[in-house]
Amino acid sequence: MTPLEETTHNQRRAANPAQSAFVMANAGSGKTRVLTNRVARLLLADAPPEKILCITFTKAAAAEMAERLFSVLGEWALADDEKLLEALGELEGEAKSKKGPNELIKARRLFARALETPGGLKIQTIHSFCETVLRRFPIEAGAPPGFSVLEDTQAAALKHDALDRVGMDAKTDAEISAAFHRLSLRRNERDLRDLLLGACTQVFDIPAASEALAQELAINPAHNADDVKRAFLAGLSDSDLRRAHDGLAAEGKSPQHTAAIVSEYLNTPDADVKWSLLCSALLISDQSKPRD
Amino acid sequence: MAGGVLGGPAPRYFSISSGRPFLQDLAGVLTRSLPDAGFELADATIYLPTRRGARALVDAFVETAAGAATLTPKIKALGDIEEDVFALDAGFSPGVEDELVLAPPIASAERRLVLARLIAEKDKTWFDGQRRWAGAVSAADELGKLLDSLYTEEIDPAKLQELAPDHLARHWRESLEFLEIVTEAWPAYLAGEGLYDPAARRVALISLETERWKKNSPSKPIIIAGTTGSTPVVARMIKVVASLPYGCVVLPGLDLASSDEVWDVVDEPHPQSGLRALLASLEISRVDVRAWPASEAELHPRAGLLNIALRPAAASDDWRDWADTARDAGPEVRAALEKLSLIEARDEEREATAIALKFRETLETPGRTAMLVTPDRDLARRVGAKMLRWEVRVDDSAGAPFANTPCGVFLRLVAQWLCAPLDPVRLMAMLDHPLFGGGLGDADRDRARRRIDIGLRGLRPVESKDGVRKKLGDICDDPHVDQILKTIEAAAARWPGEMGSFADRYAAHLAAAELLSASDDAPGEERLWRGDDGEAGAVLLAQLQDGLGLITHDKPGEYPDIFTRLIAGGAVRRRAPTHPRLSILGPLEARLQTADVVILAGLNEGIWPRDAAIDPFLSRPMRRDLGLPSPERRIGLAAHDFAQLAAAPEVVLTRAGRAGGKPTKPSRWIVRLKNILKGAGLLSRIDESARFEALVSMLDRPEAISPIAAPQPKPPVAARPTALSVTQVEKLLRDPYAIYAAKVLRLKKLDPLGQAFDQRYLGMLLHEVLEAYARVTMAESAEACKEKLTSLFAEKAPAFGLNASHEPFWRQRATIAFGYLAQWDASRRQLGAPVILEGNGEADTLIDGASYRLKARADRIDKLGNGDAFIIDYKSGRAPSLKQVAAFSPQLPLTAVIVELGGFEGLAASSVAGFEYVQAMHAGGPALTSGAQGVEAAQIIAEAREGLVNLFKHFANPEHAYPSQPRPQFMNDYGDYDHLARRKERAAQGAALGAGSDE
Repeated sequence: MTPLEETTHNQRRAANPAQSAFVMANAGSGKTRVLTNRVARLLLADAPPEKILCITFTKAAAAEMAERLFSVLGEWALADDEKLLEALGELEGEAKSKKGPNELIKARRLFARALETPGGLKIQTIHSFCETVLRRFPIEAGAPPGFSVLEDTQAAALKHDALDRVGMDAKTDAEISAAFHRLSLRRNERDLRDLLLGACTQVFDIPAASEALAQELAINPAHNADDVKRAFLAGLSDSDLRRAHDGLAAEGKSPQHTAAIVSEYLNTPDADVKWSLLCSALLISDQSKPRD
Repeated sequence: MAGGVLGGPAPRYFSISSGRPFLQDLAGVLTRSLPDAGFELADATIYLPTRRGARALVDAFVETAAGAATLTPKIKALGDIEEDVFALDAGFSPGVEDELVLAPPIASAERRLVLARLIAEKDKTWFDGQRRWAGAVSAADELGKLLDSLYTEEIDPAKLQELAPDHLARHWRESLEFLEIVTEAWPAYLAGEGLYDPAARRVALISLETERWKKNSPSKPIIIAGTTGSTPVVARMIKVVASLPYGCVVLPGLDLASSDEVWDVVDEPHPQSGLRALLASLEISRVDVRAWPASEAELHPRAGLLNIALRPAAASDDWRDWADTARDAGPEVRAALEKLSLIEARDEEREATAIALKFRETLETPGRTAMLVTPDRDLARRVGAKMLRWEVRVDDSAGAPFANTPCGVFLRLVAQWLCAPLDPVRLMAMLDHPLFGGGLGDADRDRARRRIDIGLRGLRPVESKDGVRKKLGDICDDPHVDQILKTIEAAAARWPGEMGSFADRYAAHLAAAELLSASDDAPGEERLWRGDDGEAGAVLLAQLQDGLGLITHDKPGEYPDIFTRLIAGGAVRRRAPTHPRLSILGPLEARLQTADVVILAGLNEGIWPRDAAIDPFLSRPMRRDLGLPSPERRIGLAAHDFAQLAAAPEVVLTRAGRAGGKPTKPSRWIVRLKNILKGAGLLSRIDESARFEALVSMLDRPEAISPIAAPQPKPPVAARPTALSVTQVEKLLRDPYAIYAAKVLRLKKLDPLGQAFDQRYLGMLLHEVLEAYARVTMAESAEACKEKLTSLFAEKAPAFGLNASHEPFWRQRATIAFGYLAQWDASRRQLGAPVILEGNGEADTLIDGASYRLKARADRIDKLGNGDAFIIDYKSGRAPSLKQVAAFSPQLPLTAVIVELGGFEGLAASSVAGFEYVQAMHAGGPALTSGAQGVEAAQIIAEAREGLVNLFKHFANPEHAYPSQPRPQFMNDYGDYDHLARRKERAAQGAALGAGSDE
């Protein structure tokens, strides 16, 4: 296959609604086309248009996709049999589709059917989709029916009010005051403000978050940092390290430096010293970023 | 023949086809046929769907009479549930007797309040309606819509309870519990109060009339015209009227041309769906409907084209056949496309301009009329504004929301301000509104509020009853300012405290608004409640009055939001059209109307048609089971409006490709029309987008574009500043134009309103803290020094806007920084003692025979052990590097020049050992400093002195200009005078000219 043929083949595979697909490709390489074709094939296969949901990240992408879809379906609606069979064949990877006259009629009607989808064809941004769900189920979601969405400026004003209130609370609430104390050691006023403004729109469930984190990192949530360090060190095998040392020592100057650290590591019994040696070998000086 | 419309065999159903002027045809035929049947015109009663249609029919009769004296028939409006969400005037009202038979209706505004109250009582868990009234009011609106559709469709709300079949999810039981408000609480409330729901009452009134006709046939003609009979009660009325001895029914644009195959598959979004459903409920078919005499001629080709384009989906497979024959553009097709144009503008702004151009073009021909129809009120407003270019005033006669009218806006601003009377932004917004009177004449009020505006800038007033007066200071002595302040104080004094009820707040709010709007010659009641908006507002607010006690336990700060929601939906209609030949209408007002040129605008999906409504309570299957119409019914009705209007002789269809900067989706009708025309190769015949795009661009294009050169002001030498401060010298080096603007033009940038504590105020605060610190501190322990600085900071902070809520953000870092600063200070004091603190100095110098003065304000000057001076400057941010100091920041070296000349009081002329900038708020370690001393300092000072002389000499030359930021390496985008110097404009020009484009 030539590269072009291969691309066409892959695009066709991704546009096959019978299988799930994940497509990652450069801008302008035909992703929207693949999606459009997929929707067209779903419709051809009698999927009710109101049951298809296409989520995009921007309104521009949603508008573009809708436009392409309607332009494809619009062409079908007006194509003669010959052209329509070719177009359908192209879509499904055949020179010419073998669809019968009734199926061609169905294909021609898809344009108007999709346009008149009850509730509108759902090609929309994630925001507008979520808003639709909330509007449909406000009671279940705990929002007042008929709610209106905050404007950015209103949201900013509310956030600032909230921040002011937290600031006031620090006067009476020792825990908040202590939190300010800790945070402002690391961040200047503006950064701290930005941090807290960002936090305003997120709901934090800290115990749940730390449990999830522990699970993700496969550590016991009851352990503290020292426990984790010890467990880590226990997991390192001295014989592996020895082999690594021998290998490094045979290399150039910088690996030899690392080898020296490894040998020091192997010779000390103190866990804290081991840990800091490990850090100096693997991390760059401020101990937070890994070495290349 | 014409007499046949009333005297012929019953039932008498007619249709006036699309593309015919409906009201003119109706009036014309009736004017002839009523006398033929032996009646006077005035004997007949005609029912039309809308009030506006009813008024226009009167005009049509008068027009038909062509000057002959005539009494027109009685014309009544059936009223449409869509017509007024919040009916400010009465809907259908057949006769006084019936009005008395039925219980009185509850006012819509009161209904909203009662529902909100019921929600608040009921809702303990769902969305906190108990404590959030604004949410409860919006939920009440949704329940109101549900009630309207239930009553209009004559469905007993109790039926909702029967809906819950087992297969419906558990969440439905929760919804149903909430909906008990509709099924139980609301009917019980109405019964208890002896009131009728407005929607139910309208149904009852029409039913009463219908029943009476059924029992007792009227002997006079009854005509129902123009309605699609989309509600059961109107459908029943239609059925009865069609069979009355002198009754007839005239339908709007029933499609008599399409084949039965097409008719049978008409779906809900189709223009004919409403009429098709009506025929079904009347148990008649299309053959039972005759063409109205004037419209017997063949269907207008345009209506035929629309018929094809808007085909139901299930009959849309033979468009190709149409396209094949249309491709040759025979006479039929040409006639359909003639005078039809499509304008797809780039954005809403250009769409409005294109429409305005079309309006303007229409006016070129004497007597020609044009009508803009759009559901988009913002677009309507834009077009109205564009027309002012030609001094043509066309107002939008679709109702404007009361909340957005001047009266509504002023009330909202007053509410906002009452909740936060010290907020300078809210205060100025209220004062700047045209309805604000302040008890003064216009000129005095305008002058006084400008003074207040200027006085209020900068930091917010301090929290205190007289905060505004304190902030304004001397300005309060102006008698007009004082008068305004007295008015706002009196208004604010009415506002009840935390314990006040909502009704108290409401009363105080309206009283305050009246007080505030009084002028020198008109009391507030008069200024506030006059005009279309004021009168409508007075009616609306009076309706609310009775139900206010229903809102309890609200928070004072919530008041503006609740108030805004309570007045939402109230519409204000203009009574008189503002232009005799041009009009702007909503689709509902435009029903049955026509004009020489019909412009249908805002044709984007979501605007026209609107998206199908999302029912927050019922799913589509549930609505169907209840017998409620599907959400697509509205789309079908909108499609009917569109198809009727687009069949007019001359039609312009417009839409915008982007709205609010985001791409839009074209209306489905446009997509259909374009697709078939494109298929037939005919699209270019109607597409005028490019032509209008060019016209729109031309309209605002100047004859020639002459780029403005960068400003090079060369004021006469006498006007040039000869006294500069050291920081101004720095400014003169970086941005001479700023010095020109400040010192020659004497322009000063105003602070914004309601500033909060920021870097600038931090700088001012620090100077004050450090000055006080240096004055009192003697040698003490470092810890005590740190304490002292910290407590001074806390003490002085509030005056600089750093209030309690900001404090925790600063305290920690300030404390740490002060620790380091105290260490630095201690080490400095070992070398010398401060002699100048926040002191002013100046020195004069003669250059080429002219005297110049250099001034400085020094943060601190220490006298060292050997008698030399040492200059210190505190920076709240980063200190300049020594390199910057030498090149462009000569503030301290120049201060040194003044010291050497003995320019500071209390410090004899002395040599300067060095200078130092200190970063006062550095919490990351020992205080950061930069500076120079000894030989290095001496050299920099000497250079600065020399530079200063050169600078003065340079600007003493009348040929030398004051350019704006001439040195690229020190350009920034936030100079106070950049705007005046039009820097951005030149940057843009540079780019455009560079690209060789003339646009």
